[in-house]
Amino acid sequence: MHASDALMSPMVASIAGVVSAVLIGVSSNKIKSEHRQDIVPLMGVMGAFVFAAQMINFTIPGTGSSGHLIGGILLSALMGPWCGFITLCSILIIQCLIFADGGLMALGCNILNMAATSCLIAYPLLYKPIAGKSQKPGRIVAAAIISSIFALELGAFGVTLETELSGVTLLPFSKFLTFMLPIHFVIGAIEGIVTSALILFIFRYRKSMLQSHIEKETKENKGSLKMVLLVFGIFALILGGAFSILASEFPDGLEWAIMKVTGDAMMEAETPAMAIMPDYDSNFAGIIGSIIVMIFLWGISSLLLNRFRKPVKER
Amino acid sequence: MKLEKALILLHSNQSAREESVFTSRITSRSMLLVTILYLLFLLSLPLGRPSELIWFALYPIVMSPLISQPYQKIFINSLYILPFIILIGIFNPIYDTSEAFRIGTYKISKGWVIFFSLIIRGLLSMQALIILIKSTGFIEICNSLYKLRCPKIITCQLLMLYRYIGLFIAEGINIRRSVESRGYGKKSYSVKIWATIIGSMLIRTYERSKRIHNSMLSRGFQGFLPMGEMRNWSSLDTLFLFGWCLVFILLRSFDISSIMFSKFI
Repeated sequence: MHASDALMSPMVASIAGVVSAVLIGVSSNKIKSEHRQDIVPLMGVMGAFVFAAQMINFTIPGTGSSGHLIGGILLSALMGPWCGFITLCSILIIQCLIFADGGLMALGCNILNMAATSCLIAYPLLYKPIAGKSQKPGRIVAAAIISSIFALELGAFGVTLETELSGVTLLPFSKFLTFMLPIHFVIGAIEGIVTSALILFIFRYRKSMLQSHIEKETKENKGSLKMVLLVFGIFALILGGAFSILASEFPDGLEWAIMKVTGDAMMEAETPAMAIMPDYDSNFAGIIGSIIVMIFLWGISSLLLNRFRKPVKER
Repeated sequence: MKLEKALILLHSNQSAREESVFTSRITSRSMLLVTILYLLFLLSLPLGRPSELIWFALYPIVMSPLISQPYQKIFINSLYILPFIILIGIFNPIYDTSEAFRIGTYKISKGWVIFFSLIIRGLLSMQALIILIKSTGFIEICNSLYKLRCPKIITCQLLMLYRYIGLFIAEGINIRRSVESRGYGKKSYSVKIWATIIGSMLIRTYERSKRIHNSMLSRGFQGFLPMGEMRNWSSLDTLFLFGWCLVFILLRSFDISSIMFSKFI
Protein backbone atom coordinates (compact mmCIF):
# COMPACT_ATOMS: atom_id res chain seq x y z
CA MET A 1 0.00 0.00 0.00
CA HIS A 2 1.58 3.27 -1.15
CA ALA A 3 1.37 6.26 1.18
CA SER A 4 -0.02 9.38 -0.48
CA ASP A 5 1.29 12.97 -0.42
CA ALA A 6 -1.94 14.15 1.19
CA LEU A 7 -1.21 12.12 4.31
CA MET A 8 2.25 13.57 4.90
CA SER A 9 3.39 16.77 6.53
CA PRO A 10 6.41 18.48 4.88
CA MET A 11 8.56 17.72 7.96
CA VAL A 12 7.81 13.97 8.01
CA ALA A 13 8.20 13.71 4.22
CA SER A 14 11.53 15.59 4.31
CA ILE A 15 13.00 13.45 7.12
CA ALA A 16 11.91 10.23 5.39
CA GLY A 17 13.32 11.56 2.10
CA VAL A 18 16.71 12.31 3.67
CA VAL A 19 16.89 8.90 5.41
CA SER A 20 15.97 7.09 2.16
CA ALA A 21 18.55 9.12 0.20
CA VAL A 22 21.23 8.12 2.73
CA LEU A 23 20.20 4.45 2.46
CA ILE A 24 20.32 4.64 -1.35
CA GLY A 25 23.80 6.20 -1.12
CA VAL A 26 25.04 3.47 1.26
CA SER A 27 23.53 0.71 -0.93
CA SER A 28 25.13 2.18 -4.06
CA ASN A 29 28.55 2.21 -2.38
CA LYS A 30 28.10 -1.38 -1.22
CA ILE A 31 27.17 -2.51 -4.75
CA LYS A 32 30.08 -0.53 -6.24
CA SER A 33 32.50 -2.21 -3.83
CA GLU A 34 31.39 -5.65 -5.13
CA HIS A 35 32.78 -4.74 -8.62
CA ARG A 36 30.11 -6.75 -10.45
CA GLN A 37 29.52 -5.38 -13.95
CA ASP A 38 26.74 -7.88 -14.69
CA ILE A 39 24.68 -6.46 -11.83
CA VAL A 40 23.43 -3.45 -13.90
CA PRO A 41 21.49 -5.51 -16.51
CA LEU A 42 20.50 -8.09 -13.87
CA MET A 43 18.97 -5.45 -11.58
CA GLY A 44 17.27 -3.76 -14.54
CA VAL A 45 15.53 -6.85 -15.86
CA MET A 46 14.75 -8.20 -12.37
CA GLY A 47 13.06 -4.89 -11.54
CA ALA A 48 11.04 -5.07 -14.77
CA PHE A 49 10.18 -8.71 -13.99
CA VAL A 50 8.89 -7.88 -10.48
CA PHE A 51 6.92 -4.94 -11.90
CA ALA A 52 5.20 -7.18 -14.47
CA ALA A 53 4.77 -10.09 -12.02
CA GLN A 54 2.99 -7.73 -9.59
CA MET A 55 0.21 -7.39 -12.16
CA ILE A 56 -0.38 -11.11 -12.66
CA ASN A 57 -2.75 -12.15 -9.89
CA PHE A 58 -3.27 -15.48 -8.14
CA THR A 59 -6.20 -16.81 -6.11
CA ILE A 60 -5.88 -16.48 -2.34
CA PRO A 61 -6.70 -19.93 -0.90
CA GLY A 62 -10.00 -20.10 0.97
CA THR A 63 -11.26 -16.73 -0.32
CA GLY A 64 -12.72 -15.49 -3.54
CA SER A 65 -10.21 -12.67 -3.87
CA SER A 66 -6.86 -12.49 -5.59
CA GLY A 67 -3.46 -11.16 -4.58
CA HIS A 68 -0.14 -10.26 -6.13
CA LEU A 69 3.58 -10.39 -5.41
CA ILE A 70 5.42 -7.48 -3.74
CA GLY A 71 8.88 -8.87 -4.22
CA GLY A 72 11.25 -7.37 -1.59
CA ILE A 73 12.33 -10.67 -0.02
CA LEU A 74 12.45 -12.39 -3.43
CA LEU A 75 14.78 -9.74 -4.90
CA SER A 76 17.03 -9.91 -1.82
CA ALA A 77 17.14 -13.71 -1.98
CA LEU A 78 18.17 -13.58 -5.64
CA MET A 79 20.56 -10.61 -5.69
CA GLY A 80 21.38 -9.73 -2.08
CA PRO A 81 19.87 -7.04 0.17
CA TRP A 82 21.64 -3.98 -1.29
CA CYS A 83 20.81 -4.81 -4.90
CA GLY A 84 17.29 -5.83 -3.85
CA PHE A 85 16.84 -2.50 -2.09
CA ILE A 86 18.03 -0.41 -5.07
CA THR A 87 15.84 -2.46 -7.44
CA LEU A 88 12.76 -2.04 -5.27
CA CYS A 89 13.51 1.70 -4.88
CA SER A 90 13.69 2.06 -8.67
CA ILE A 91 10.32 0.26 -9.00
CA LEU A 92 8.80 2.69 -6.48
CA ILE A 93 10.29 5.70 -8.33
CA ILE A 94 8.93 4.44 -11.68
CA GLN A 95 5.52 3.78 -10.09
CA CYS A 96 5.52 7.35 -8.77
CA LEU A 97 6.95 9.23 -11.78
CA ILE A 98 5.27 7.28 -14.58
CA PHE A 99 2.14 5.67 -13.12
CA ALA A 100 1.32 8.30 -10.42
CA ASP A 101 1.17 5.53 -7.79
CA GLY A 102 2.07 7.01 -4.40
CA GLY A 103 3.36 10.58 -4.27
CA LEU A 104 6.46 12.62 -4.88
CA MET A 105 6.72 13.90 -1.29
CA ALA A 106 5.72 10.49 0.10
CA LEU A 107 8.37 8.69 -1.97
CA GLY A 108 10.84 8.69 0.92
CA CYS A 109 8.23 7.22 3.25
CA ASN A 110 7.29 4.56 0.67
CA ILE A 111 10.95 3.61 0.21
CA LEU A 112 11.35 3.22 3.98
CA ASN A 113 8.05 1.37 4.48
CA MET A 114 8.27 -0.99 1.54
CA ALA A 115 11.87 -1.37 0.37
CA ALA A 116 14.00 -0.79 3.49
CA THR A 117 11.84 -2.93 5.78
CA SER A 118 11.93 -5.99 3.52
CA CYS A 119 15.44 -5.79 1.97
CA LEU A 120 17.52 -4.14 4.69
CA ILE A 121 15.76 -5.30 7.88
CA ALA A 122 13.67 -8.45 7.37
CA TYR A 123 16.02 -10.17 4.90
CA PRO A 124 19.36 -9.93 6.77
CA LEU A 125 17.89 -10.27 10.25
CA LEU A 126 15.27 -12.96 9.65
CA TYR A 127 15.39 -14.61 6.23
CA LYS A 128 19.12 -15.36 6.17
CA PRO A 129 19.40 -16.83 9.70
CA ILE A 130 16.20 -18.91 9.36
CA ALA A 131 16.93 -20.21 5.84
CA GLY A 132 20.48 -20.99 7.02
CA LYS A 133 23.37 -22.38 5.05
CA SER A 134 21.70 -25.73 4.30
CA GLN A 135 18.78 -24.11 2.42
CA LYS A 136 16.28 -26.93 3.05
CA PRO A 137 12.80 -26.40 1.51
CA GLY A 138 11.07 -26.32 4.92
CA ARG A 139 13.44 -23.66 6.20
CA ILE A 140 13.04 -21.59 3.01
CA VAL A 141 9.23 -21.63 3.40
CA ALA A 142 9.47 -20.68 7.11
CA ALA A 143 12.05 -17.96 6.39
CA ALA A 144 10.02 -16.44 3.53
CA ILE A 145 6.75 -16.41 5.49
CA ILE A 146 8.21 -15.06 8.76
CA SER A 147 10.35 -12.39 7.07
CA SER A 148 7.49 -11.27 4.78
CA ILE A 149 5.08 -10.94 7.70
CA PHE A 150 7.70 -9.04 9.72
CA ALA A 151 8.49 -6.71 6.77
CA LEU A 152 4.84 -5.91 6.11
CA GLU A 153 4.01 -5.40 9.78
CA LEU A 154 6.99 -3.07 10.12
CA GLY A 155 5.87 -1.23 6.97
CA ALA A 156 2.33 -0.87 8.34
CA PHE A 157 3.78 0.38 11.63
CA GLY A 158 5.80 2.92 9.62
CA VAL A 159 2.73 4.16 7.67
CA THR A 160 0.77 4.52 10.93
CA LEU A 161 3.59 6.37 12.66
CA GLU A 162 4.18 8.72 9.72
CA THR A 163 0.45 9.47 9.34
CA GLU A 164 0.10 10.14 13.09
CA LEU A 165 3.20 12.36 13.16
CA SER A 166 1.85 14.27 10.16
CA GLY A 167 -1.32 15.00 12.13
CA VAL A 168 -3.82 14.19 9.38
CA THR A 169 -5.95 11.77 11.37
CA LEU A 170 -7.59 12.09 14.75
CA LEU A 171 -7.73 8.30 15.08
CA PRO A 172 -5.58 7.41 18.11
CA PHE A 173 -2.29 5.70 17.35
CA SER A 174 -3.21 2.46 19.16
CA LYS A 175 -6.57 2.18 17.36
CA PHE A 176 -4.93 2.96 14.03
CA LEU A 177 -2.40 0.18 14.70
CA THR A 178 -5.09 -2.34 15.61
CA PHE A 179 -6.73 -1.47 12.28
CA MET A 180 -3.54 -1.69 10.19
CA LEU A 181 -1.53 -4.56 11.71
CA PRO A 182 -4.03 -7.46 11.31
CA ILE A 183 -4.66 -6.59 7.62
CA HIS A 184 -0.93 -6.47 6.91
CA PHE A 185 -0.37 -9.71 8.84
CA VAL A 186 -2.63 -11.49 6.35
CA ILE A 187 -1.03 -9.71 3.36
CA GLY A 188 2.42 -10.60 4.73
CA ALA A 189 1.49 -14.28 5.14
CA ILE A 190 0.22 -14.40 1.53
CA GLU A 191 3.34 -12.59 0.30
CA GLY A 192 5.44 -15.13 2.24
CA ILE A 193 3.64 -18.12 0.71
CA VAL A 194 4.02 -16.71 -2.81
CA THR A 195 7.70 -15.79 -2.28
CA SER A 196 8.51 -19.21 -0.85
CA ALA A 197 6.71 -20.90 -3.78
CA LEU A 198 8.85 -18.92 -6.23
CA ILE A 199 12.11 -19.50 -4.34
CA LEU A 200 11.32 -23.23 -4.11
CA PHE A 201 10.70 -23.30 -7.87
CA ILE A 202 14.10 -21.68 -8.46
CA PHE A 203 15.63 -24.01 -5.84
CA ARG A 204 14.30 -27.02 -7.74
CA TYR A 205 15.03 -26.00 -11.33
CA ARG A 206 17.85 -23.46 -11.25
CA LYS A 207 19.60 -23.71 -7.92
CA SER A 208 22.61 -21.80 -9.20
CA MET A 209 20.53 -18.61 -9.28
CA LEU A 210 20.28 -18.78 -5.49
CA GLN A 211 23.41 -20.75 -4.79
CA SER A 212 25.90 -18.35 -6.39
CA HIS A 213 24.65 -15.62 -4.13
CA ILE A 214 24.41 -17.82 -1.04
CA GLU A 215 27.95 -19.16 -1.45
CA LYS A 216 29.22 -15.62 -1.45
CA GLU A 217 27.17 -14.60 1.51
CA THR A 218 27.73 -17.57 3.82
CA LYS A 219 31.33 -16.40 4.29
CA GLU A 220 30.12 -13.23 5.91
CA ASN A 221 26.88 -14.61 7.34
CA LYS A 222 26.80 -13.74 11.00
CA GLY A 223 23.07 -14.21 11.44
CA SER A 224 21.79 -16.75 13.99
CA LEU A 225 18.66 -17.73 15.90
CA LYS A 226 19.81 -15.42 18.70
CA MET A 227 19.66 -12.54 16.24
CA VAL A 228 16.09 -13.51 15.28
CA LEU A 229 15.01 -13.59 18.91
CA LEU A 230 16.77 -10.28 19.56
CA VAL A 231 14.94 -8.63 16.64
CA PHE A 232 11.58 -9.96 17.79
CA GLY A 233 12.35 -8.89 21.36
CA ILE A 234 13.20 -5.33 20.32
CA PHE A 235 10.12 -5.17 18.08
CA ALA A 236 7.89 -6.44 20.90
CA LEU A 237 9.40 -3.91 23.31
CA ILE A 238 8.82 -1.03 20.87
CA LEU A 239 5.24 -2.09 20.21
CA GLY A 240 4.54 -2.76 23.88
CA GLY A 241 6.05 0.56 24.89
CA ALA A 242 4.06 2.43 22.26
CA PHE A 243 0.83 0.75 23.32
CA SER A 244 1.38 1.35 27.02
CA ILE A 245 2.14 5.06 26.48
CA LEU A 246 -0.93 5.44 24.31
CA ALA A 247 -3.08 3.41 26.64
CA SER A 248 -2.39 5.89 29.41
CA GLU A 249 -2.73 8.86 27.08
CA PHE A 250 -6.13 8.06 25.57
CA PRO A 251 -9.33 7.09 27.40
CA ASP A 252 -10.96 3.76 26.60
CA GLY A 253 -13.89 3.45 24.22
CA LEU A 254 -16.63 3.82 26.86
CA GLU A 255 -14.96 6.82 28.53
CA TRP A 256 -14.45 8.42 25.15
CA ALA A 257 -18.10 7.86 24.18
CA ILE A 258 -19.34 9.32 27.50
CA MET A 259 -17.01 12.31 27.14
CA LYS A 260 -18.23 12.95 23.60
CA VAL A 261 -21.90 12.65 24.59
CA THR A 262 -21.61 15.05 27.52
CA GLY A 263 -19.37 17.39 25.50
CA ASP A 264 -21.90 17.54 22.70
CA ALA A 265 -24.77 18.10 25.14
CA MET A 266 -22.94 21.06 26.67
CA MET A 267 -22.16 22.42 23.26
CA GLU A 268 -25.79 22.19 22.19
CA ALA A 269 -26.83 24.14 25.28
CA GLU A 270 -24.43 26.95 24.48
CA THR A 271 -25.59 27.25 20.88
CA PRO A 272 -28.01 30.12 20.23
CA ALA A 273 -31.46 29.45 18.76
CA MET A 274 -31.62 28.69 15.06
CA ALA A 275 -32.33 31.51 12.67
CA ILE A 276 -35.16 31.08 10.16
CA MET A 277 -33.09 32.27 7.21
CA PRO A 278 -29.87 30.37 6.48
CA ASP A 279 -26.93 32.21 7.99
CA TYR A 280 -23.74 31.28 6.21
CA ASP A 281 -20.56 31.39 8.22
CA SER A 282 -17.51 33.20 6.83
CA ASN A 283 -15.61 29.94 6.38
CA PHE A 284 -18.43 28.36 4.39
CA ALA A 285 -18.83 31.51 2.26
CA GLY A 286 -15.09 31.33 1.57
CA ILE A 287 -15.35 27.71 0.43
CA ILE A 288 -18.27 28.41 -1.91
CA GLY A 289 -16.60 31.55 -3.30
CA SER A 290 -13.32 29.72 -3.89
CA ILE A 291 -15.08 26.86 -5.67
CA ILE A 292 -16.92 29.32 -7.95
CA VAL A 293 -13.65 31.09 -8.83
CA MET A 294 -11.92 27.79 -9.56
CA ILE A 295 -14.80 26.62 -11.79
CA PHE A 296 -14.57 29.96 -13.64
CA LEU A 297 -10.80 29.50 -14.10
CA TRP A 298 -11.39 25.91 -15.20
CA GLY A 299 -13.69 27.26 -17.93
CA ILE A 300 -11.00 29.71 -19.08
CA SER A 301 -8.34 26.99 -19.04
CA SER A 302 -10.60 24.79 -21.20
CA LEU A 303 -10.91 27.62 -23.70
CA LEU A 304 -7.12 27.97 -23.79
CA LEU A 305 -6.55 24.22 -24.13
CA ASN A 306 -5.75 24.19 -27.85
CA ARG A 307 -3.75 27.39 -27.69
CA PHE A 308 -0.52 25.60 -26.69
CA ARG A 309 -1.04 22.42 -28.66
CA LYS A 310 1.47 21.78 -31.43
CA PRO A 311 -0.08 21.75 -34.92
CA VAL A 312 -0.41 18.19 -36.22
CA LYS A 313 1.91 17.64 -39.16
CA GLU A 314 0.30 16.05 -42.19
CA ARG A 315 2.08 13.02 -43.49
CA MET B 1 -3.30 -1.97 -12.26
CA LYS B 2 -4.01 -3.98 -15.40
CA LEU B 3 -1.08 -4.87 -17.63
CA GLU B 4 -2.69 -3.31 -20.72
CA LYS B 5 -3.44 -0.09 -18.84
CA ALA B 6 0.17 0.10 -17.63
CA LEU B 7 1.46 -0.31 -21.19
CA ILE B 8 -0.87 2.40 -22.49
CA LEU B 9 0.16 4.77 -19.67
CA LEU B 10 3.84 4.12 -20.32
CA HIS B 11 3.50 5.22 -23.95
CA SER B 12 0.87 7.93 -23.48
CA ASN B 13 2.96 9.89 -20.97
CA GLN B 14 5.84 10.15 -23.40
CA SER B 15 3.59 11.27 -26.26
CA ALA B 16 1.79 13.80 -24.01
CA ARG B 17 5.04 15.72 -23.55
CA GLU B 18 5.54 15.93 -27.29
CA GLU B 19 2.07 17.44 -27.83
CA SER B 20 2.76 20.76 -26.14
CA VAL B 21 4.85 23.73 -27.29
CA PHE B 22 5.37 24.86 -23.70
CA THR B 23 6.78 21.61 -22.29
CA SER B 24 9.27 21.34 -25.13
CA ARG B 25 10.67 24.74 -24.10
CA ILE B 26 11.16 24.24 -20.37
CA THR B 27 13.45 21.74 -18.69
CA SER B 28 12.37 18.81 -16.55
CA ARG B 29 14.43 20.26 -13.68
CA SER B 30 12.29 23.40 -13.46
CA MET B 31 9.07 21.33 -13.64
CA LEU B 32 10.36 19.04 -10.90
CA LEU B 33 11.36 21.98 -8.69
CA VAL B 34 8.03 23.77 -9.17
CA THR B 35 6.14 20.55 -8.33
CA ILE B 36 8.19 20.00 -5.16
CA LEU B 37 7.64 23.64 -4.13
CA TYR B 38 3.92 23.36 -4.83
CA LEU B 39 3.64 20.21 -2.73
CA LEU B 40 5.65 21.78 0.11
CA PHE B 41 3.41 24.86 0.22
CA LEU B 42 0.24 22.79 -0.19
CA LEU B 43 1.11 20.28 2.53
CA SER B 44 2.28 22.98 4.94
CA LEU B 45 -1.20 24.57 4.96
CA PRO B 46 -3.19 23.50 8.06
CA LEU B 47 -6.06 21.12 7.32
CA GLY B 48 -8.73 23.26 8.94
CA ARG B 49 -8.67 25.84 6.14
CA PRO B 50 -10.37 24.35 3.07
CA SER B 51 -11.14 27.74 1.52
CA GLU B 52 -7.41 28.49 1.34
CA LEU B 53 -6.63 24.98 0.08
CA ILE B 54 -9.06 25.34 -2.84
CA TRP B 55 -7.00 28.27 -4.15
CA PHE B 56 -4.10 25.91 -4.71
CA ALA B 57 -6.17 24.42 -7.57
CA LEU B 58 -4.91 27.45 -9.48
CA TYR B 59 -1.70 25.58 -10.35
CA PRO B 60 -3.23 22.50 -12.05
CA ILE B 61 -5.94 24.61 -13.69
CA VAL B 62 -3.41 27.06 -15.18
CA MET B 63 -0.90 24.34 -16.07
CA SER B 64 -3.38 22.05 -17.85
CA PRO B 65 -3.72 24.17 -21.04
CA LEU B 66 0.04 24.83 -21.01
CA ILE B 67 0.72 21.08 -21.21
CA SER B 68 -2.21 20.61 -23.63
CA GLN B 69 -4.15 18.35 -21.30
CA PRO B 70 -7.80 19.12 -20.42
CA TYR B 71 -8.22 19.77 -16.69
CA GLN B 72 -11.25 17.49 -16.49
CA LYS B 73 -9.05 14.59 -17.65
CA ILE B 74 -6.43 15.39 -14.99
CA PHE B 75 -9.19 15.76 -12.39
CA ILE B 76 -10.76 12.40 -13.29
CA ASN B 77 -7.35 10.70 -13.24
CA SER B 78 -6.68 12.12 -9.77
CA LEU B 79 -9.93 10.64 -8.38
CA TYR B 80 -8.44 7.17 -8.01
CA ILE B 81 -6.56 8.36 -4.89
CA LEU B 82 -9.93 8.97 -3.13
CA PRO B 83 -10.59 5.51 -1.60
CA PHE B 84 -7.27 5.53 0.29
CA ILE B 85 -7.76 9.11 1.53
CA ILE B 86 -11.35 8.36 2.58
CA LEU B 87 -10.19 5.25 4.45
CA ILE B 88 -7.72 7.28 6.52
CA GLY B 89 -9.74 10.49 6.81
CA ILE B 90 -13.21 9.09 7.58
CA PHE B 91 -12.33 8.76 11.28
CA ASN B 92 -11.93 12.53 11.66
CA PRO B 93 -15.71 13.30 11.59
CA ILE B 94 -16.21 10.54 14.18
CA TYR B 95 -13.55 11.82 16.58
CA ASP B 96 -14.05 15.59 16.24
CA THR B 97 -17.71 16.56 16.43
CA SER B 98 -17.15 20.14 17.63
CA GLU B 99 -18.87 22.73 15.45
CA ALA B 100 -16.91 24.53 12.74
CA PHE B 101 -19.77 26.46 11.13
CA ARG B 102 -23.44 26.20 10.26
CA ILE B 103 -25.29 25.99 6.97
CA GLY B 104 -28.78 27.03 7.93
CA THR B 105 -29.82 24.65 10.66
CA TYR B 106 -27.18 22.07 9.84
CA LYS B 107 -24.10 21.93 12.02
CA ILE B 108 -20.85 21.13 10.19
CA SER B 109 -18.28 19.63 12.53
CA LYS B 110 -14.54 20.33 12.48
CA GLY B 111 -13.99 16.65 11.71
CA TRP B 112 -15.91 17.00 8.44
CA VAL B 113 -13.97 20.18 7.57
CA ILE B 114 -10.65 18.31 8.09
CA PHE B 115 -11.97 15.35 6.09
CA PHE B 116 -13.02 17.65 3.23
CA SER B 117 -9.61 19.41 3.37
CA LEU B 118 -7.81 16.05 3.26
CA ILE B 119 -9.72 15.11 0.11
CA ILE B 120 -8.86 18.45 -1.55
CA ARG B 121 -5.22 18.03 -0.53
CA GLY B 122 -5.14 14.49 -1.90
CA LEU B 123 -6.71 15.47 -5.23
CA LEU B 124 -4.48 18.52 -5.70
CA SER B 125 -1.26 16.70 -4.84
CA MET B 126 -2.21 13.92 -7.27
CA GLN B 127 -3.04 16.48 -9.98
CA ALA B 128 0.39 18.13 -9.50
CA LEU B 129 2.05 14.73 -9.90
CA ILE B 130 0.03 13.96 -13.04
CA ILE B 131 1.05 17.34 -14.52
CA LEU B 132 4.70 16.57 -13.76
CA ILE B 133 4.42 13.14 -15.38
CA LYS B 134 2.65 14.49 -18.48
CA SER B 135 5.11 17.36 -18.92
CA THR B 136 8.50 15.72 -18.32
CA GLY B 137 10.33 12.88 -19.95
CA PHE B 138 11.54 10.13 -17.67
CA ILE B 139 14.95 9.93 -19.38
CA GLU B 140 15.39 13.66 -18.81
CA ILE B 141 14.55 13.21 -15.12
CA CYS B 142 17.21 10.49 -14.91
CA ASN B 143 19.70 12.87 -16.56
CA SER B 144 18.74 15.59 -14.07
CA LEU B 145 19.28 13.17 -11.17
CA TYR B 146 22.69 12.28 -12.58
CA LYS B 147 23.63 15.98 -12.85
CA LEU B 148 22.46 16.47 -9.27
CA ARG B 149 25.12 13.91 -8.23
CA CYS B 150 22.66 11.10 -7.61
CA PRO B 151 24.61 7.76 -7.46
CA LYS B 152 25.30 6.38 -10.93
CA ILE B 153 23.98 2.99 -9.93
CA ILE B 154 20.46 4.32 -9.27
CA THR B 155 20.31 6.42 -12.47
CA CYS B 156 21.54 3.42 -14.52
CA GLN B 157 19.04 1.18 -12.76
CA LEU B 158 16.19 3.61 -13.52
CA LEU B 159 17.18 3.80 -17.19
CA MET B 160 17.51 0.02 -17.46
CA LEU B 161 14.18 -0.51 -15.72
CA TYR B 162 12.48 2.07 -17.94
CA ARG B 163 13.96 0.37 -21.01
CA TYR B 164 12.76 -3.12 -20.07
CA ILE B 165 9.51 -2.41 -18.28
CA GLY B 166 7.52 -2.19 -21.53
CA LEU B 167 9.06 -5.44 -22.74
CA PHE B 168 8.17 -7.30 -19.56
CA ILE B 169 4.65 -5.89 -19.41
CA ALA B 170 4.17 -7.12 -22.99
CA GLU B 171 5.52 -10.53 -21.93
CA GLY B 172 3.17 -10.51 -18.93
CA ILE B 173 0.24 -9.80 -21.28
CA ASN B 174 1.28 -12.74 -23.51
CA ILE B 175 1.62 -15.06 -20.51
CA ARG B 176 -1.75 -14.08 -19.08
CA ARG B 177 -3.44 -14.38 -22.48
CA SER B 178 -1.99 -17.83 -23.12
CA VAL B 179 -2.94 -19.02 -19.62
CA GLU B 180 -6.46 -17.60 -19.96
CA SER B 181 -6.94 -19.21 -23.37
CA ARG B 182 -6.17 -22.59 -21.78
CA GLY B 183 -8.08 -21.91 -18.58
CA TYR B 184 -11.71 -22.26 -19.79
CA GLY B 185 -12.78 -18.93 -18.33
CA LYS B 186 -10.60 -18.98 -15.22
CA LYS B 187 -9.29 -15.50 -14.44
CA SER B 188 -6.73 -16.28 -11.72
CA TYR B 189 -4.91 -19.38 -10.55
CA SER B 190 -3.75 -21.24 -7.49
CA VAL B 191 -0.41 -20.25 -5.96
CA LYS B 192 1.19 -23.47 -7.25
CA ILE B 193 0.28 -22.82 -10.90
CA TRP B 194 1.11 -19.14 -10.52
CA ALA B 195 4.55 -19.99 -9.08
CA THR B 196 5.26 -22.33 -12.03
CA ILE B 197 4.31 -19.67 -14.58
CA ILE B 198 6.11 -16.80 -12.85
CA GLY B 199 9.04 -19.01 -11.84
CA SER B 200 9.72 -19.99 -15.46
CA MET B 201 9.41 -16.32 -16.40
CA LEU B 202 11.95 -15.53 -13.67
CA ILE B 203 14.44 -18.07 -15.04
CA ARG B 204 13.98 -16.64 -18.55
CA THR B 205 14.55 -13.15 -17.08
CA TYR B 206 17.82 -14.29 -15.50
CA GLU B 207 18.98 -15.80 -18.79
CA ARG B 208 17.98 -12.65 -20.60
CA SER B 209 20.08 -10.53 -18.23
CA LYS B 210 23.14 -12.64 -19.18
CA ARG B 211 22.47 -12.10 -22.89
CA ILE B 212 21.91 -8.38 -22.36
CA HIS B 213 25.16 -8.13 -20.41
CA ASN B 214 27.07 -9.89 -23.20
CA SER B 215 25.60 -7.59 -25.84
CA MET B 216 26.35 -4.54 -23.67
CA LEU B 217 29.96 -5.69 -23.23
CA SER B 218 30.31 -6.10 -26.98
CA ARG B 219 29.22 -2.46 -27.36
CA GLY B 220 31.87 -1.19 -24.94
CA PHE B 221 29.90 -1.22 -21.66
CA GLN B 222 32.16 -0.21 -18.76
CA GLY B 223 29.84 -0.55 -15.84
CA PHE B 224 27.55 2.45 -16.32
CA LEU B 225 25.21 3.68 -19.03
CA PRO B 226 26.11 6.95 -20.80
CA MET B 227 23.71 9.80 -20.09
CA GLY B 228 22.17 11.62 -23.06
CA GLU B 229 22.33 15.31 -23.93
CA MET B 230 20.48 17.57 -21.53
CA ARG B 231 18.64 20.78 -22.33
CA ASN B 232 20.23 23.88 -20.86
CA TRP B 233 18.50 25.98 -18.23
CA SER B 234 16.95 29.01 -19.96
CA SER B 235 15.49 32.33 -18.82
CA LEU B 236 12.01 30.83 -19.37
CA ASP B 237 12.83 28.22 -16.71
CA THR B 238 13.90 30.95 -14.26
CA LEU B 239 10.73 32.93 -14.99
CA PHE B 240 8.58 29.82 -14.64
CA LEU B 241 10.19 28.85 -11.33
CA PHE B 242 10.15 32.29 -9.70
CA GLY B 243 6.69 33.13 -11.05
CA TRP B 244 5.09 30.07 -9.48
CA CYS B 245 7.16 30.49 -6.34
CA LEU B 246 5.71 33.98 -5.91
CA VAL B 247 2.16 32.68 -6.49
CA PHE B 248 2.63 29.90 -3.94
CA ILE B 249 3.96 32.36 -1.33
CA LEU B 250 0.94 34.62 -1.91
CA LEU B 251 -1.50 31.69 -1.67
CA ARG B 252 0.16 30.47 1.51
CA SER B 253 0.44 33.88 3.17
CA PHE B 254 -2.99 35.36 2.48
CA ASP B 255 -6.48 33.98 2.84
CA ILE B 256 -7.64 35.23 -0.55
CA SER B 257 -11.17 33.87 -0.15
CA SER B 258 -11.80 35.93 3.00
CA ILE B 259 -10.32 39.05 1.34
CA MET B 260 -12.45 38.59 -1.79
CA PHE B 261 -15.69 37.44 -0.21
CA SER B 262 -15.69 39.40 3.06
CA LYS B 263 -18.29 41.78 1.58
CA PHE B 264 -20.74 38.95 1.00
CA ILE B 265 -20.67 37.66 4.57
